[in-house]
Amino acid sequence: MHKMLIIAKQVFMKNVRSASWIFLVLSPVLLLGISIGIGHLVQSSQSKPTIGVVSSVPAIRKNFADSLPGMKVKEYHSQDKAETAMQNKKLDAVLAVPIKNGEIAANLQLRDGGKVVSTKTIQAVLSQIQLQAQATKLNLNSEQLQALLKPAVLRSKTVVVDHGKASTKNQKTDTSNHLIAVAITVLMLVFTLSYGSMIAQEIATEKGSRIMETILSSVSATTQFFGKLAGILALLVVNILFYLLLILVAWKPLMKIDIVKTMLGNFDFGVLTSTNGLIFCVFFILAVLTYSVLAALTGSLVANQEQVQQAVMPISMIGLLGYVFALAVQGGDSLIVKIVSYLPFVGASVMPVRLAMSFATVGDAWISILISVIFLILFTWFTAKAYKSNVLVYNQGGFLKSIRSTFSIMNAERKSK
Amino acid sequence: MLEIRGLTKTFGSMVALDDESFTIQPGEIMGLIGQNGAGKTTTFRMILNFITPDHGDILWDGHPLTSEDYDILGYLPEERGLYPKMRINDQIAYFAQLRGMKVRDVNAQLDQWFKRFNVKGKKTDKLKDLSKGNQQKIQLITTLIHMPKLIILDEPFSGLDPVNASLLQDGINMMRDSGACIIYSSHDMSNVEALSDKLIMLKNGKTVLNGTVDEIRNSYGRIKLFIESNLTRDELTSFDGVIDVKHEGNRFELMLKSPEVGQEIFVAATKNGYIPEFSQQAPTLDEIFRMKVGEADA
Ligand SMILES: Nc1ncnc2c1ncn2[C@@H]1O[C@H](COP(=O)(O)OP(=O)(O)OP(=O)(O)O)[C@@H](O)[C@H]1O
Ligand SMILES: [Mg+2]
Repeated sequence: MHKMLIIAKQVFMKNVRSASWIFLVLSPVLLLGISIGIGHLVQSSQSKPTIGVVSSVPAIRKNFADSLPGMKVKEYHSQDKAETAMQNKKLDAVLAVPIKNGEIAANLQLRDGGKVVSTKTIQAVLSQIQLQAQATKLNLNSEQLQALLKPAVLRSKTVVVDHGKASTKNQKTDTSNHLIAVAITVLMLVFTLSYGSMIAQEIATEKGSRIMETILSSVSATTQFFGKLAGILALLVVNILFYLLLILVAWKPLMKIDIVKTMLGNFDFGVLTSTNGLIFCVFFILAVLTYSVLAALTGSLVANQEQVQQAVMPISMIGLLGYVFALAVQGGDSLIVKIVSYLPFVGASVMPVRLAMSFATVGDAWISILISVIFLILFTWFTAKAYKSNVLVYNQGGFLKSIRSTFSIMNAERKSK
Repeated sequence: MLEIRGLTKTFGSMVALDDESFTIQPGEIMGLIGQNGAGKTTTFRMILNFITPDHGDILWDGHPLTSEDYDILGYLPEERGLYPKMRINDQIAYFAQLRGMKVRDVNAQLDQWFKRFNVKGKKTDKLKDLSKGNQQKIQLITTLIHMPKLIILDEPFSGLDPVNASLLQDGINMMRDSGACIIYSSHDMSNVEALSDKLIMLKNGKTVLNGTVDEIRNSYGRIKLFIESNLTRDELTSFDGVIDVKHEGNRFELMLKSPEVGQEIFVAATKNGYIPEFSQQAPTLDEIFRMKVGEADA
C-alpha cells in the first residue's frame, strides 16, 4: 500500500508540473473566457445605440430616458440641434415626440450606417405613454389601468407517461436536460480521451524506455498498475475540483454579464441535484475508470517509444464511437442506440443522453450502470493479470502480435503454477 | 543465501534453461557466463519472479522470494532505462523509496556514491544531459544505494570503458564485503576471472561449467603447451592426444587432450638436448570459454 502511494505520488507530481496537463486544465477555461468576452464585447458594442429624444415636455423626455433599455438617451429641446448632432454621427437616431391634442404622433429618423435601434422597444414605450395619456383623459386610476392591461395566462407543461403513470415536468427542465446531455457527451469525450491517453502514455513510455523492469523488481505489477491509475485519477480529481472552485469564485461576477445570463437563463439548476444528475455523475466516473483501465492495458502492449501513439488509438476510436452514438440519440431513438446504451464504454455516453431525452427511464439507466460496473470489475481484474505478462514482453511485430503473445504467456504462466 | 535447484524453463518447444543449480553464500560473487541466448537473463527473470519456472526452486535463506523481499533486492536490468527528463537526485530517490529507503537517507548518501563511481555531472542535472557511461553509473547507483542483500546485475560491464569497469569492480567488491550475495552475467571473459568467486557457464540453457574459478581451471590441468624445438608441425600433430596446433615462427602452441601427453612430447623434443622453450600451462578462463563454445552439443 505504501509503495502504491509512492508510485501514485510520483505520477501525480510529474504530470501536475507538466506543460501538457496544465494546458489540458486551462484551455477550456481560456476558451470559455474568451468566447464569453467576445460575446460580451459584440453585444455591448452592438446594442447600445444613442438616440436623441426631442420634446418640449420634460416628463416625456424623462419617460424615455428611464424606459429605453439598451439605448443611450439624450434629451433635446429643438429638432435642429438633434439633427445636427446626428449629422455629426453623435446620434444613431432622432425621435421627435410632439403632442397634439393629447395624441402622440412620433417621428423617428434613423441614421444610415448607425447602430441598430429597436423600433419595437420605442413603439412599446410610445404606447405606454399614449395609454397613460388616454387613461388620464378617461379619469382612470392606476389600479383600473393595471386591471385593463393584465394579460391572459397561458401555462404550458409536458406530460411524461412512464409505466402508465403520468408525471409532469416543465419546459425549462427539458431544455436543461438536453443541455446537460450535450455537455455530458462532450465532457465525457474530452476527459476520457485526455486522461486515457495520459495513462497509456505514462505506461507505454515507461515500458518503452525499459524503466519497467527496474520498477517491477521493487514492487509487484499489480501495485504498480493501481499506483499509476491512482496517480492519474488524482490528477482528474484536482482538475475537477479546480473547475468547481473556479465556478464558485466566478459565479457572481459572471452572472452580471448579460450574455451569460441569457445563456443560463433557460437552465433549471434543479436537474443537477435530481436523480438524473446523480446518474450522469455515476456514468461519468464509470466512463473515466473504464477508459483508464483500457488505456493501461493498451499502454502495456507497446514495445518501444514509437508505438506509444498506437497505444492511444483504441481509446480514441471507442471514445469517438460513443460520441457518435450519443449524437445519433439527439436525432432520435432507435433500436441500435437502445442496445448500445447498455454496453460498457459507449453506454456511458449514450445512456445519459437517452435519459435526458426521455427515451430511457431511470430504471434503464441503473441497469446499464450495473452492467458497466460488473464489466469494469472483470475488466480490471483481467487487465491487472494481462499487465503482469505484458509489461515484460517486447514484440517488435506490432500491436496485434503483442496481444497474441500476451495470451500465450498468460496461458503458460497459468500452467506453470 | 541464494539457492537455485533444478531450474528449468521452456518457451514453447525451446528449452531456454535446463536443470540449472547453484548456491551463492553471503559475501560471494557469482559470474554467469554464456553466449547470447544462453539463458542468463532468463535465469535472472525467474529469480525476480517475472516469469515462472516450469520446474525447480529458488530459495532465499530457505524460503521462496516473495514481495516481502523486494527491499533487499538490487537489480540492474540488461536494457537500461531511467527517466530522461527527471532530475538525477529525484529519480534515485524515487527508486530508493520503492525499496523502502527514506529520501533523507538517500540525500545524505548521494555525494558519497557520486564520488565512488566518479560521476561527471551535478545531482540536479536532468539525466539526459549526462553522457551514456555516466547515465549507466546513475543506474548502478539506483541499483546499489539501498545496500541490497541480493544483487543481480545483467551485463553490468557492457558500455563501460576499462577505467570505469574497474570502478564498477571496486563497487561490486565493496558490496561483497558488506555481505551481499552477488550474481552478474557476462558474455565475455574480461573482468570475470578477477571478480568472480564462482562461475557458471551456460550453453543453450545447459550448465557446462560450474564451480569456483580455481576448481574450473584446475579441472582442465596443464593442457596448454608452448614449445620451441626441432619438432616440425607434422611431427607434433602426429602425437596421440594433440588436439590443436597453432604456430607463430618457430614457436608452437598446442592444445592437449590431457596433461600427461606433455611428457611424451618433452622426451621427443629433448632427444638432442637443449630446447629454448617448453612451458605447460592450465588454460585461461577465456580459452575454456571458447573451448566450451566450440564443443558440439552433448
Ligand atoms: N519471453 C520469451 N519468449 C520466448 N522466448 C524467449 C523469451 N525470453 C527468452 N527467450 C529465449 O530464451 C533463450 C534465452 O534467452 P536469454 O535472454 O536468457 O539469453 P541471454 O543469455 O540473456 O542472452 P544475451 O547474452 O543475448 O542477453 C533465447 O533463445 C531467447 O530467445
Ligand atoms: Mg541477456
